[in-house]
Amino acid sequence: MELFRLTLASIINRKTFAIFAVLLIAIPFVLPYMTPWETKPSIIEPARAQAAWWMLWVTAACWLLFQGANIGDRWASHGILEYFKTLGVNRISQMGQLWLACFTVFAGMILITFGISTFTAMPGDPIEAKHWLITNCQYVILFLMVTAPLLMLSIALGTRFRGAAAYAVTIGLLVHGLFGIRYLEVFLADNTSPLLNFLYVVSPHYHLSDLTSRLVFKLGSLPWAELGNTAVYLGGLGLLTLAFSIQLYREVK
Amino acid sequence: MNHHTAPSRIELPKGLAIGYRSNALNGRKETRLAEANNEISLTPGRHLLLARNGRGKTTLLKTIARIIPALEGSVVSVGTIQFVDEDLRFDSEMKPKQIFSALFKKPQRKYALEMAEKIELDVEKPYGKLSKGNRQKVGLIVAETRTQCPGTHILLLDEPFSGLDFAAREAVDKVWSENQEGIVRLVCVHPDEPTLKADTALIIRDGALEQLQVKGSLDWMETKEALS
Repeated sequence: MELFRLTLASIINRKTFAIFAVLLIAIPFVLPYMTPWETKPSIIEPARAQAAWWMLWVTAACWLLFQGANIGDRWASHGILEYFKTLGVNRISQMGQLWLACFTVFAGMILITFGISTFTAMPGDPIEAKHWLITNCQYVILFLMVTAPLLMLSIALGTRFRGAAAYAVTIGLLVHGLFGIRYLEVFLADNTSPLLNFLYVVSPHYHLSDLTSRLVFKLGSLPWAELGNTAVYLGGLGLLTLAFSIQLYREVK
Repeated sequence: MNHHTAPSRIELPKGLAIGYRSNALNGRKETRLAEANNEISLTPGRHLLLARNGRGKTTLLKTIARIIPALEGSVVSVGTIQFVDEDLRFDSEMKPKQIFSALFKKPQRKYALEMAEKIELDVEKPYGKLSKGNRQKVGLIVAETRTQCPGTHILLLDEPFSGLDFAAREAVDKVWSENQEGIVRLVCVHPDEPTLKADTALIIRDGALEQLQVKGSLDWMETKEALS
């Protein structure tokens, strides 16, 4: 696990995670007060949960994927991965160690968001509170199923191409999967183009993991069957991304 | 402090050919750089790898390290291989002390810091602010410290002295002499290196890879003539 320790030390030493950690804590407590909350004080808590989760998505897009692409690029071009290869650390182990180093830091950020959303925005009603807790747990699971494979992809792309290109591809996929598909859906309502339909089918439907609206509008937890279907879809997509990442990964540029 | 199971060694069979395979995707043709005329055996000790530019020194090291495949034949090696490239670079923001802490446990870390002191490396200065020679020292220390871990070791060092001044070379030479039991060191050097202490020398000339018994040190005028 030397590559893991070296990468983790590098991430911690660079301290960029601290900026996002501060924002993850501050934004959910500041942004809700920029709403017309005086007219309806009860919107503060849902707004806090919304801000917390959106800040986590922003952190995943701006920090996590960037770290993956940057570390993959840096370690491959600087000969570090080649050095570990000669020590007998194979590519899958290398990928796993790089992934784990990035995710170890990011796991702390997920915990911050989960803590803020669950414990500082929980409804007073016991039934609603139970649903709130379950929804937050479901959200964490689905969120992990999207971000974990994308991080692997950003690392693999970073080892093969330049870091900027690797980052652009992965952030593009995430933004398309979260927002682009929703626009595509609106467009497809009045259009029967087979090409657009095909694009819709093959696009990664990451928006399925976004449970923010269920929290904001207190829609209750996701039914277990629906959660299962979503998890199977995102799990399958994650496995495909992982397989693709393994093929792309290179120890030497 | 080496904990041996079987002595480390490298065997290069007669007919071993090194170079680059053809690649239909990028249109690269097969490039054959050198071939072993006789069987070559590298046992614990210091072995120099000498050749003029572009004759396959780094390619041979990478072939032994299994980074690239041999064109013909296969290398047999016993021991944990470390290939330390001349261009190996760590995180520019990290200090050497932090790099050693991340890579090694306490006893090895102590060894790394002691070696850093012997070869005059400032372990508190960020890696990115170190000179080329001092960066090379970090790679050398990492490689040398790993030999303190249990097992047998093979060090493949690609031009480790190119950025080091005379005093640093002597200090590294001393460390190697103190820590040579059971370790195969194959050191790629320029033929005009002033210090060429070795047990044997591998020479690539006219596409042939040969092993010379040195027993002490190489005379660089003789080496120059041999490679010309």
